[in-house]
Amino acid sequence: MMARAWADAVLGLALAPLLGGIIVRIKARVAGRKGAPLWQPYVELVKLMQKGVVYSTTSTWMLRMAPAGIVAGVGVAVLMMPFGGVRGVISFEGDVVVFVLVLGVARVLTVLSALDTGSSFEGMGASREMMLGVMSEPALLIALAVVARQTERCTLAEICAVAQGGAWAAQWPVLALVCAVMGVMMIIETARVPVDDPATHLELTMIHEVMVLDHSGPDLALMQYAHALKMWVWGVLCVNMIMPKWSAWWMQTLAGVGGVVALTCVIGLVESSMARWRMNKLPQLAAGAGAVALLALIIEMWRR
Amino acid sequence: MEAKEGTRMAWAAAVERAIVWSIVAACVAGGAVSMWVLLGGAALCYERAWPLPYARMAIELDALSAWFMLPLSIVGAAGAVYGQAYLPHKSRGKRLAAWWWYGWLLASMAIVFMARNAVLFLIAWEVMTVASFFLVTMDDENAEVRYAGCVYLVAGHAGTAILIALFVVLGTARGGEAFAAGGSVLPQAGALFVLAVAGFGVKAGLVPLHVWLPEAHPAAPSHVSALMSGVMIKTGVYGIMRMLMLLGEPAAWWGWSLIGIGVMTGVVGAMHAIVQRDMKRVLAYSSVDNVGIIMIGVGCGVLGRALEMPVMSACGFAGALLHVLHHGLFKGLLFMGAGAVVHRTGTRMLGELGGLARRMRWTGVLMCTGVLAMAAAPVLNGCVSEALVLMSGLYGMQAAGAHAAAGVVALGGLALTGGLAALCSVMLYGVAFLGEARSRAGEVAEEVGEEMRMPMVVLAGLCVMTGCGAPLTLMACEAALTAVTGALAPGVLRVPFGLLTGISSVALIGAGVGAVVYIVRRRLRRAAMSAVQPTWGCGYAQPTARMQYTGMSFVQPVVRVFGWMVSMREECALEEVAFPRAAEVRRQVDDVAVRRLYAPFSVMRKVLERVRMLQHGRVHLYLMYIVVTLLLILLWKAR
Repeated sequence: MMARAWADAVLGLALAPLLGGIIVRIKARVAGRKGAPLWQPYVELVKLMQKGVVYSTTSTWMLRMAPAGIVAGVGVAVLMMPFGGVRGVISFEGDVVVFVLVLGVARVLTVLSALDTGSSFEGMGASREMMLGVMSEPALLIALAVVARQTERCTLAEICAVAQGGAWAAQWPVLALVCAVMGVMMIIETARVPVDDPATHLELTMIHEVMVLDHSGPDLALMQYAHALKMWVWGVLCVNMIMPKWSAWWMQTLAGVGGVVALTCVIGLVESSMARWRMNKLPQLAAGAGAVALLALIIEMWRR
Repeated sequence: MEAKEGTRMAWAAAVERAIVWSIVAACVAGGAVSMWVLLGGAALCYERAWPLPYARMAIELDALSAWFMLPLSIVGAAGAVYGQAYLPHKSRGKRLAAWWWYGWLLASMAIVFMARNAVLFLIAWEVMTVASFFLVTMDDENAEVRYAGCVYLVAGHAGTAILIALFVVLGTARGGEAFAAGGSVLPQAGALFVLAVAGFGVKAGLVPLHVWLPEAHPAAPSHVSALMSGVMIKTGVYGIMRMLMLLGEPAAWWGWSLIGIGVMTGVVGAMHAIVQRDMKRVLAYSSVDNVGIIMIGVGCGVLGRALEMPVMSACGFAGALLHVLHHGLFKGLLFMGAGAVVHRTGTRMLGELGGLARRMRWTGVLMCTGVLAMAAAPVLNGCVSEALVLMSGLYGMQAAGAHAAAGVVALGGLALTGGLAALCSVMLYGVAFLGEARSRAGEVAEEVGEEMRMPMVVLAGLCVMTGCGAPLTLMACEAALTAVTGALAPGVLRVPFGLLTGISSVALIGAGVGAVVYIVRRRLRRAAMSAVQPTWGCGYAQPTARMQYTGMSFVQPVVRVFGWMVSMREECALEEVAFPRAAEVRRQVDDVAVRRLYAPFSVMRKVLERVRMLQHGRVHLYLMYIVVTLLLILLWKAR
């Protein structure tokens, strides 16, 4: 079991950059272009790794060390995330809480390294990122807690295995609402349209991209890789919520990867079909997710 | 003549050093004895008759007292060493007075934690208030400080008045011994609970009783702020916990109300913290929000006990108890760091600081440790206790029926508090220590001396140790924990221990991965070229430090959403003319409780002005008041 957990984690670490490539490819296809090859993000990571670094005169050790810390934070989240019906490498009772905290530290380090440059543009992105964090963390925790109440266990493994029992047949309204919350959270946390447009040209409208303006070379590669890992973690979390049990282990792994890829395709299609929202709508989106999570809880409480 | 003055100076310095090191020695001894009690030693008692009515010199160091003694001895000792370098060197008399009151403050807090007699407890409580009042008003040439001291004294005494009522009722019901444990559940237990929360809540800084805290804590010298924020507000928490022990089996509504108060305290405190411009006020308000976190934990613990959900109860109380220690450590560190900044720049205003991490490298790293602990980052201790309380809320949601809602209030409220606290931490460090200096004061800052750095290094080290070795801390806390939860079935504690072991392993694995990634990346960089350039200004060639994000602009998106929780007035004087001249924006942030809750009470003033007739300053008439009062009491007794 442990060997499979490690294998799944390595699979995640390897496949994560692919997701960005898929989204870019889909957006290109919808726009009528051919698009870059799917492995383009890998090429970019390798290219950045070979480049030199430029540091700001304003910056301190924070800008130099934060990227490693961020990769470590999100990497630990990957190790904690169950995949294909197998619990994560690190799994213990209450790990769901720690999972949220670990993602939180990645966010805090990103924001601090952005502020380290003293740039007002990066301050802008940092400020928005923290606002989204403040708004989305309660919603995420409540949504996870609703599933925890349903499974009566507080482990990510058990929470993520909710779809493998008969819970969807019996409790589909609650789970559907929870899935909606998770989907919104994924969009917010991974900075996709309509919350943030990674392909935008104007620094004033960015959130995540503007925070990495002054990162360069290997540091930028680490930041991009951490972001890819974050997408993988969130994709797996969302897919776990709906993935039924398969008979053979390779089918489970295949279904897991397929699910994440499908979800990425959906994000790509969404991104092709709508624009970024105005910044002042974002708190409403996050608060709405929180309200939906509470609604799910109320339905769940009515059950028991 | 000069030689004589020189010897006198040397003498005074030697005396001061002797005082400081005896304080440190006393703290170390107290800490050692507390550890011995916590690690399985029997409770230490001392009792003597006292010639005061209802009083006995009854002192006991049991597990709960010992647990609260730990942060007291650590922060007390660190503060003493730090204060030596921090206190202004101008007036020798003032320095000695500061140490005198510092000693009294430490001793009275120790007695508060250990007293087992109501009169002794109240005396120690008052000494604590008075000693800290004199420390708060050290800088009494400053009008703001005098105001802070006044507010503090009034609030402190109002709280004590409630406590006197509490102990009178409790003592009468228990046959004269308020601290007699293990009696039956009293019929008036509910009322006593309310009195305890109100009376101790003033000291703990529960919203809306917190208004003195953001005035008094920043006004004190920084090592005293560290002690007040890190430890003294915990005497309120201790009082509530001790009362819960004395009152016996709790009712469910106690837990509900504690959770509600905790969430209110946490969210309102954190919201106020992020809109402050004064560094030490940010920290003071953040203490309010941390007390909120502790109260949510206590509330979950009480509710779990009332609902007979032992795991919820154990996790909640464990989180609250650990946070008492953890908050003491990191808030002590942060106040000392802020003090170092004040010492070197002469200002506490965030808007004048910036870029300090480059000029004060040690202080920068230490301060960063503190804010990351406050932001609940794994590896550091803040996240440990927060995770325990979150876990308790998660278990609380498993409760049947409506009680599950308490769990979700705790969980959601704590998540929101935690998010705001993280925002506050990032804002504090990002504005003061990162970026460019916003004024001359920030540009010339130098690193502080060893005497001020060492205590901070110790506190930061303890923050890391309690963050990575969390199960060991819980082991030390176990005796105190079972004192508040009541006897626990075997296996209940497996859950918090498992969680903390998990957090520790996550922290260590994360730190290891981070180190490996960093080292590998450095090797890459060595092969490649690295250059230093100005921050990219998106094509703008003349950036100035004033263009940076300020604290207020950093938190603006959140204030737009949750701004209704703070009372903020904005005046914008912009002339509507064809060629506008310089405009001015004024923003004033007041405490919402002061403006919305206490302001209406100014009506009372008109009524009370009539009563002032009695206060005329003629001593012979005052004596007559006393005589008349005594006569009336005598008549009433003789009736």
